[in-house]
Amino acid sequence: MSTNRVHTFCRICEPYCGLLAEVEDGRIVSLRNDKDHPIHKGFSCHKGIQYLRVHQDPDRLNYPLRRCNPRSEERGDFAQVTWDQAATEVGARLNDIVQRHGDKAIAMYTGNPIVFNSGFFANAEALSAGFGAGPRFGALTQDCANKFAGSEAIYGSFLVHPFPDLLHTDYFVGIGCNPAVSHMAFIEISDPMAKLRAIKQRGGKTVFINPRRIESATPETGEVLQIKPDTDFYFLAGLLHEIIFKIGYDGERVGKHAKNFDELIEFVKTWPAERAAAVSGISLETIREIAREFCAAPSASIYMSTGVNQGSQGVLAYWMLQMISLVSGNLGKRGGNLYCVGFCPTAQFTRRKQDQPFFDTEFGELRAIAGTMPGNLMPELLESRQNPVKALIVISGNPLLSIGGEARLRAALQGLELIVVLDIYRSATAELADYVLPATDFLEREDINTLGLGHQLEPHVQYTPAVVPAAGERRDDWWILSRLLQAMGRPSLLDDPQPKPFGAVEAMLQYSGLSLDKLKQLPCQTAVLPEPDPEELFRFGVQNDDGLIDCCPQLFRRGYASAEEHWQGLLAEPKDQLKLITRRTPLMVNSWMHNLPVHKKSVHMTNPLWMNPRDAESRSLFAGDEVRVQTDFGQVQADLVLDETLRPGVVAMSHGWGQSKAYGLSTARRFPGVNVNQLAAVGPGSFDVLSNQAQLTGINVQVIASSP
Amino acid sequence: MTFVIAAPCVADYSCVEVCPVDCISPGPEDPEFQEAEQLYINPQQCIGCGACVEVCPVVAIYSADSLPVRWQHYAEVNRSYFMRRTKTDDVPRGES
Ligand code: SF4
Ligand code: SF4
Ligand code: SF4
Repeated sequence: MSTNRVHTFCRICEPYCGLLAEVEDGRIVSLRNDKDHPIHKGFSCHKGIQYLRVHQDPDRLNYPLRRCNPRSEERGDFAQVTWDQAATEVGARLNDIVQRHGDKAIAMYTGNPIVFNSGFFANAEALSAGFGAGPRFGALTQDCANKFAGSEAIYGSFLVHPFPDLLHTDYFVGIGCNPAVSHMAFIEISDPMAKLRAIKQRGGKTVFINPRRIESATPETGEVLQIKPDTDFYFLAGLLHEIIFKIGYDGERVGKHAKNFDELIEFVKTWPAERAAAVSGISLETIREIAREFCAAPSASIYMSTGVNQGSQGVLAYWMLQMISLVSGNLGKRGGNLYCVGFCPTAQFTRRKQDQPFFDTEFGELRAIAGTMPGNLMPELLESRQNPVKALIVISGNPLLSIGGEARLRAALQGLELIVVLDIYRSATAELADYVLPATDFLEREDINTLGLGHQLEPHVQYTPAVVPAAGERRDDWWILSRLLQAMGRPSLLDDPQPKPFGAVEAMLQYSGLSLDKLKQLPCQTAVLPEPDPEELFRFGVQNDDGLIDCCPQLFRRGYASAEEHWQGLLAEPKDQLKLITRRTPLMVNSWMHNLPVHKKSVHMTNPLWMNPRDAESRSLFAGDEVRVQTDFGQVQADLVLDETLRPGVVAMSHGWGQSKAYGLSTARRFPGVNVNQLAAVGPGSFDVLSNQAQLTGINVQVIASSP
Repeated sequence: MTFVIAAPCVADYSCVEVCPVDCISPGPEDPEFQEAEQLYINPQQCIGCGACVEVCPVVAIYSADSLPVRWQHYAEVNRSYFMRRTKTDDVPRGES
């Protein structure tokens, strides 16, 4: 028996950790962290390694399925069909729908996993356009749309996100992030905790801002300032106010690279640090001290993540963050915040097309963000009278659990004529589908790490072959969508007798004189690229026509009133108001890995409500109590777990649970937990108009003991 | 960053199951398995993922940099367990 070792990489989150697979007789017998990888040098987390269990999971989809019972029945009765049958039938029904209802009748939803799939992602625009002009939805508006909207307005491209140069920085502020558990988003970084420890070792400092004493804060990294949820914008504005009005800013740098600075000053004037201190739970003195330290450090960098994104002021917070970096002289500077071209400068492909993106709809003025409509309006848009949607194609996504208001969305989905789901599992959403089409997992498809382009701390590009051939009749997502287009009689990648899903990737590699063939010759099929030149931000990042960073985009004015209103609301709140935040535990990633028995241990067998012991005591609640968590929008039952790492007044639950109706997932269904997104506001007026971002954290809740 | 099992361990093996790189010993194949009163993490192999911390019912596992002062010496206790084993040519489980 021969053992074949294949260097590959994980595609669950941004680090793209190197993995080493051992294959015997066409089967993967082990999956480990890859110690030979030139960048990761053996770093990975357990999720990457445990993905082998996803690959081997007996609940995985292997064949195209067609529903035999009406969709009104909660549990799907599915029968195996051939690819030809599935494609022909779906193609005919889509054509019929388009003929009767027009070009906007097919909607699409893309989940997060697809962005780690370069064969699909490089062709995403063409594949999506092939299905017409119906609304597009995605996980994007649930966790990071504010960053896209912010950078598009400031830099002119939604893909420019200057990241903290953690290899050189002397001072790091990390807000609403937990690198030890989530390994950071919008920066491709290997072993973030090692980088954070190194900051302290070289005499620098890290400060975390988070309502929870996160795992990332250790004596070897830095402390957490326990901020009140959803007040990050005020905190950041307070820092900026201190820098501009008290400490002094780098006027020369601002003049050289930016415009509309006077308007920014006007805005910031209205948000002094005193106002931040009044609502954030961080004292005026501390805010001032951080501003002073940030400016005094030889270099300083700043970063925010999902905890801020999912709040109510995510765009404005991201704006303040960019401006702090700019005016303190740290933007585009070694040790500050950087942009990295990597193997291809991609910002130019995503240049802002119009300054005023809003258009009139029956639901008021709306915009798309990176082509994506608000998830919080998904039911309304599907039921639109002006542009009725009749079919939905879901690509590796689980909107039923990811978007708020599960029951409302379920009803809207039930009203559609046709639902087609491409996935590796029969997910909760797939349970509602007419056709469920089996996709490959990351061990079954070739790929390169394209997502990190623009924000790689240690730039490199790795190719992986499919480690093993696809099991059953699983197919790559690009192939499945192309096959459906082909069946509709529309152009697709399959028109070429030798389809080239990696054609676009090859073209990008050429920019650096690379090719897939060249990568295949290198150790771990990986090319290590030079570290970013700090000036790359100004040369390749900024995409505004005049080459200048916009310090005060006109567009943001639409958010000013809501920032003021929210601040007033916070001041008026009762002192004991509980605030719900969402928390990712080490044993989960959204709704991805809920079917692995290995993760169903101790408190992680369900989705508990975590509460500070002081709050429990004052409410006469005890660990293990069953409690009802309720908002104006919904309620869920959960078991109470005491957690003194939470700031008093803050409770936490995790997103991605609520699997009781996922009949195809035997483990997840045995440990269903509740869907916390049922507590979030949905519908018109519930999302940030600037970015379509839903508010999923900092939600006011009531917690009551369930009657025994 | 490696993780360390400290004094509270009751050897219930919850962590062994969840560790993705099999670096917690002794396991069922090891001779000491029956009598073990505490388990140990191999610092050479631990990838620092923290998965074990989450499942330990008695909060016995800490990252080496946040061990409570009274159990500081457990980093060495864990390490030396594997030194002993390697000397007798018993390669720790999970060594590649
Ligand atoms: S850190 Fe992310 S990319 Fe790395 S192994 Fe874990 S899940 Fe995979
Ligand atoms: S931290 Fe991870 S790798 Fe280390 S012992 Fe625990 S589970 Fe195993
Ligand atoms: S889970 Fe905790 S108590 Fe159980 S064996 Fe591991 S360290 Fe010991």
